[in-house]
Amino acid sequence: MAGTLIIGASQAGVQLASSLRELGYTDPVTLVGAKEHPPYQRPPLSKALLLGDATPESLLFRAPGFYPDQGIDLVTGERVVTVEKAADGSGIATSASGRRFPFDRLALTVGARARRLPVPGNDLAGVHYLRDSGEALRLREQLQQASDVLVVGGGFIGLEVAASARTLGRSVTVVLADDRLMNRAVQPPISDFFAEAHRRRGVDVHFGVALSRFVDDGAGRVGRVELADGRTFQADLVVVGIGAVPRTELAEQLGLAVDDGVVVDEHGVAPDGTTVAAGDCVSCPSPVPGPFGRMRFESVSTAVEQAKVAAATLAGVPVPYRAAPWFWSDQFDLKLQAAGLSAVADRYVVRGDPAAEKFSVLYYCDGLLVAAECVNSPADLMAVRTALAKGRTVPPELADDTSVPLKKLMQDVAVGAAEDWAATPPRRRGEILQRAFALLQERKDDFALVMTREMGKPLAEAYGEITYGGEFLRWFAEEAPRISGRYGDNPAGTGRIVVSRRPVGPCYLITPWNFPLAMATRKIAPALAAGCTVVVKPAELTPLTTLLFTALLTEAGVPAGVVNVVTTSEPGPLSARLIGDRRLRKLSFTGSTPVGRRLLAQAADNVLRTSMELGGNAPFLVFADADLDAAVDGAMAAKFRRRSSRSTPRTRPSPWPTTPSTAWRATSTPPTSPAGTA
Amino acid sequence: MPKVTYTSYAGDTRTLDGAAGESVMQTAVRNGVPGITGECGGVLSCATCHVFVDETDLDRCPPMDELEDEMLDGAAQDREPNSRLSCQLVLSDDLDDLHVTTPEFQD
Repeated sequence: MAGTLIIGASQAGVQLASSLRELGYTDPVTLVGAKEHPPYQRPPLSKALLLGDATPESLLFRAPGFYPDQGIDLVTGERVVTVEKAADGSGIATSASGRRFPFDRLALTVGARARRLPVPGNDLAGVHYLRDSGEALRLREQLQQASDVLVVGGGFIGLEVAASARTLGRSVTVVLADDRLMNRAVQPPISDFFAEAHRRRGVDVHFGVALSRFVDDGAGRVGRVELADGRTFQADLVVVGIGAVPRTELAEQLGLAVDDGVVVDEHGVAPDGTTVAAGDCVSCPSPVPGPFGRMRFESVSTAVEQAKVAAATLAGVPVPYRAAPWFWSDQFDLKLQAAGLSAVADRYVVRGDPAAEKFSVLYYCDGLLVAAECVNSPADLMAVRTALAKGRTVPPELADDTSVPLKKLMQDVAVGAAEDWAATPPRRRGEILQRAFALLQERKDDFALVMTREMGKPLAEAYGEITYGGEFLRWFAEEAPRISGRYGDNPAGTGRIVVSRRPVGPCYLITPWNFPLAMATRKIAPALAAGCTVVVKPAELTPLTTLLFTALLTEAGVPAGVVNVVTTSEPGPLSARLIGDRRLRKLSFTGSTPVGRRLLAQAADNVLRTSMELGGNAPFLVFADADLDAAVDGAMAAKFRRRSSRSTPRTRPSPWPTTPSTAWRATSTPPTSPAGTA
Repeated sequence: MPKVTYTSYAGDTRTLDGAAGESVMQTAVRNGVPGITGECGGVLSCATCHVFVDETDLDRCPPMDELEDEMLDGAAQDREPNSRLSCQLVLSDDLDDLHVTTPEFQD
C-alpha cells in the first residue's frame, strides 16, 4: 500500500500530515519537500530572522524525531516535477533527481513562488526576493553592509522587511504601484495608518510608482533605481515583495482546473474527485458567507485550516472549510492582526485611538460584524475571532466604547443567548418563572416601597400592582410547557396541516412609567415562557423597579443575556437603533399612540412582529339603561384615580392609558384593577 | 537540559527535555504534545498555546507583558490566575522542571 503522498513540505503539508495521524489515519504518509531543510516557519523570515532574533534551526516546525514517531516519511531535497495519476486517484510522482513516489491518494501543498519584477537590471547583485530561508539568510548578510535599502511593494513582506531594515538603522524607501499599503489584505483606514506610522519611523513611502530599471553601480551591483517618471532613488540593496504566484504546474499536468490556484471544493477536493490540495496554491470557495467568488489566501491560518479540511477528507471524515481567515503582521512595534473578510463591508467603526497606535477597525455588512483589523489590540482581535466563529456580533453603535471589553459586548447581547434559551426545556423555563413568582411574593414589601418612591403611587396601589403583575409570572409559568401547535386537514381532505410554535428570537420590550412592574412582567414572562430573549427599556422616569425585577429574575435562574435592561433618558435614538438591528425579531410597546405610530413605522423596515398597547382618547360609554349614579362613581374613579400620586404634573385630563374595555366595565362596577391595564 | 512536564486536560502526563532558549510552546509543538497548537509560532498573535502553570512554579516564570495579558483574555478556554501563553515561557537553567497543564481546547 502506497498511502498518501503530500507534495510540498511547508505549513500546509506538515499540518496535513500531522492531522492525518491525529484523525487516526493508519496508511503510510509520505511528505516530500524540495528544500534540503526540514520544514520550517516562514513568517519570521522577514522579521526575527532578519533582525538576528531567530535562526533557521529555531524556526523548525517539528523536532527531527517527530516525523518517524508519527509514521510520517519526510523526504527533503526532492522537487517533484512530474506526476501521473489513474482514475482511482492512485499514481506515481517523480522528482527532478528521478526518485519515484507511488501513491494511493495525492495531496498538493506546493505553495506559491515570489512574483518576479520584469524590469531591466533585475538580475543585478543586490536585488533580492524573500520567500525561503536561504534568501532570508542572504538578505540578512547584505543588510549588514547596505546603506540605502529600497523595498518594492507595499504588502506584508515588503513592509516587514522595511521595518526590519529601518530597525537595523538603514535608510529605507518603500515604493509601490498601488495608491495604498497592503491593498489586498486590509481596508483604507489601516493602510493609511500604516503609511503614516512607517513615515513617523523614518521610512520614506512613495505610492503610484512605476519602476523603469535598476542601474548598475559599475561593479555589477545595483546602485540606483530609475522610475518611469524620471525620478531616481539611491539603492544599494533592493528587496522585491510584489506578491506570490501559486505553483500550479503539477495540477496542470494532471489536467486539474486552475484559476489563480488549484481549484478545490469546500472539502479541499479537486474536480477529479480524488486529489486534495491546501494552502497558498489553492483557489477555494469562500469559507464565510458573502458575495464572494473563489478565493486564494496566503496566510498561516488558512493553510492550517485548509490542511485540516483536506486531512479530514482523506481520513474519510469530511468537514467543510468554514473558518474565518485571520492573519497577523508585525512591523516595528506595531502588531497588526486581522480576522474575517473586510472587503465586503459597507460600514466601519473605529474603536480606540489611532494616535496612540492602539485601535481596531470593526467592519460591518448589513449591520452585522464581518471583520476586524486591529493594531496593538489583541483582545479585540480574539473577541472578533470568537464572534465570527460563533456567529455573534457587536452592535456597531456600541463597538467604539473602549470602556467595555469587546468580548463582553458580544456576550451581553440577547442574540448570543437566544439559541441556548430557546433550547432550554419549556418545563425548565416554567420552573424559573414559578420561582420568580415566589420570590416576588417574598419581596413584595421591597418592591412596593421602590415603586412608590420611584413613581409616586400610594403604597396600597403598589401592593395591588405586585399582586396583579405577579400573576403574569404564574400564568405564563404554567403556559410554558403547553405551547402546543395544532393540526388540521386541508380543504381537499388529502393532506394534514401542522402548525408548530417556535421562539421568534430577541424581543425589544418598551414599558411605561405608570405600571413599572406589571408592564414588565406582562411582557417579559410570555417572552421567556416562549423561549425568547428580551431587551427591556423601562420608561426614562422609572428604571428602578425594572432593574430590581431583573435582578430577581437572575436570582430565579434566568441565564445571563436572556433578560437585558437598557436605561436611557433619550429613548428615541436608542429605540431606533435597536429596532433597526436586523437580529431583532419582535417589538412590544405600551404607551402613547404617537410614539406607537413612530415605532410601527420603524418596525416596518425589517417587518418586525409587533404588539402595541396604545393609549389615546378613551371613550366612556354610558348606555340608556345604565344606573347613572354608579356610572358617575365609575367615571370619577376612572378619571381621578391616582390623580394626586403622579410623579410629574400632567395636563392629560384622564388616567393614562385608558382603554375602551375599562370604560365598559366602569359602567357596571367600579374598577377593581388599575385603570388602563385590564 | 531543562525539563518540562505537560499534563493534558484528561490527566495524561509527558515529560520532555527542552533546550535553554526555547519556549515551553516550541518544546511541545516540536515533539507533538497534544493540547498546544502555537499557530503563530510564538509572536503573541494567536493565543493557542495557553497553559495553566503549576502554582508552585508560577513565581519562577517571567512577568507577563501587556500583550500576553490581553491575548489571554481572548483564549478559547477562559483564563485562570495561573494562565500563561507558553510561547512566553522560555526555558533556561533557572526555569527548569516546569509543570504545566494544557486546557481542554485551544481554538
